[in-house]
Amino acid sequence: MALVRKHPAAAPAPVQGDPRAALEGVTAAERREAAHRLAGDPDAVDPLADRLARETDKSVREAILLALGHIGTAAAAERLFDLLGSEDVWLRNAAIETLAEMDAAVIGALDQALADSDSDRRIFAVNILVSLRHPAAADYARRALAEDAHVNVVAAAIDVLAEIGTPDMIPEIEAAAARFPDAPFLAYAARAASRRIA
Amino acid sequence: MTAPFNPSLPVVTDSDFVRFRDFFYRKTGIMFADNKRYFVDKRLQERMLASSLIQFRDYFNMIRFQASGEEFQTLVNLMTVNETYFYREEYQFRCLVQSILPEVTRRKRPGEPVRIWSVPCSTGEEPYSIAFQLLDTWADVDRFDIEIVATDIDTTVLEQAKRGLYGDRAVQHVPEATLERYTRRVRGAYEVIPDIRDSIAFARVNLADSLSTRQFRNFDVVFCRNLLIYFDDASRRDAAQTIYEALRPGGFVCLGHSESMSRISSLFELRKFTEAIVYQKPLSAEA
Repeated sequence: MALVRKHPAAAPAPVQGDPRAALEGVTAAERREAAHRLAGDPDAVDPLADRLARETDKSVREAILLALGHIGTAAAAERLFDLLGSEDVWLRNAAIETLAEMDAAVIGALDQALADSDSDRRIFAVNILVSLRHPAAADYARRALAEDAHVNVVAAAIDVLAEIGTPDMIPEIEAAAARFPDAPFLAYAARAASRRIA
Repeated sequence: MTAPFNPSLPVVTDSDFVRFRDFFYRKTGIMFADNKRYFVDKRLQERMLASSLIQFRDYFNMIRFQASGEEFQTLVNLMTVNETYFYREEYQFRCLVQSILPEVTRRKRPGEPVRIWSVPCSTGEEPYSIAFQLLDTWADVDRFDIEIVATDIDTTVLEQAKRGLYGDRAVQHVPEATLERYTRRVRGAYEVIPDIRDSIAFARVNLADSLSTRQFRNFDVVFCRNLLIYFDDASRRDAAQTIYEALRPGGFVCLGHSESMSRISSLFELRKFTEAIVYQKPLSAEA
């Protein structure tokens, strides 16, 4: 019989040393391990985010993003929002996915994100609203709908409300489309969203 | 087909169904075709009644915004058929023998074992199926030591797995000759023979707990089928990290047919073999 039973080794000894220092370790395994260990430490947001900005190994990047998601504070969300302007598509998308799971922490950082001077970053921030499990998500989409000056941000907000809106928001959606008479696609999006949530 | 009208049941309209279906797909990757309408409606109505939310809109808002995600999880459990049996998704076991192991063993040093992790192993059908398949069909089975580790979070199912006792339904897809070789009849049931039972290491592990999974390393193949569909996105990504850490560079992970690692993590490479699509930790990755 070629099958052999070999139990997994008993739990290995806890890793010693300062995980912040290990974030700068030589091997990817060391840096991943450090990220895992810092996942419960709210004071580790800056060292993790700083390392993420320099990190090139994808597995370590994922471990750091997971750690920031686990920390789940507004400070962690703010550092992730910073990445929405990254030229690195993978990093930007990974930040969006992480933020989408952070619910209340994201809400705490949205005021700043929706006031960003870069409309692309505001669009990404609005898009995250659709995935949040938080009752205030629709209110932030409504705010973008009413206040944002960029047509594509408003379009993103309409798309969000098509998913999480309620019938009482239909007048706001129609009013937002009316703010941009030169953008017929917005009127179409508003009609589609209104039909969907009516 | 819509559910037959029953005035005492909450109403799920056509557009409700479409909204729910889109939402459920985004969250789980599972898409219900139109012919699953009755199946979906019935379960939605059951949970709406249990939650005392008779209007679909109210119930839909709850599953989207409930902070704990508990109701959504309950719904996922209801919507996914949680049954296991020997040789389930058997094409993956064929893939293991015909495509994965030849590739894995080409890189083995003399004396190095082949290590396979079945997680979650539930009541044992999967790790025993792997053992049967290897013993029956892998030509190189005697050239390597094969270590099969089978884990689950649930100690009750682990005890059942260790006993290795199964009814007719569980073994219905096992070839008769295989059953004769590797099981014996015990009071109308099929009991896996001690040689095989004793060769599999059963252990409790919580895949979401990185501390308890640190001892699981250097695997060549991980079977993690129909588990991730029960997790939320963050937990799936955690699990993907755990599996990544557990695999040797070049190791493979097999997921359930409705699951896609590409939707969870970019750590793995998609491998399309003749028998199945699986995922591989890059050979260039650090151990």
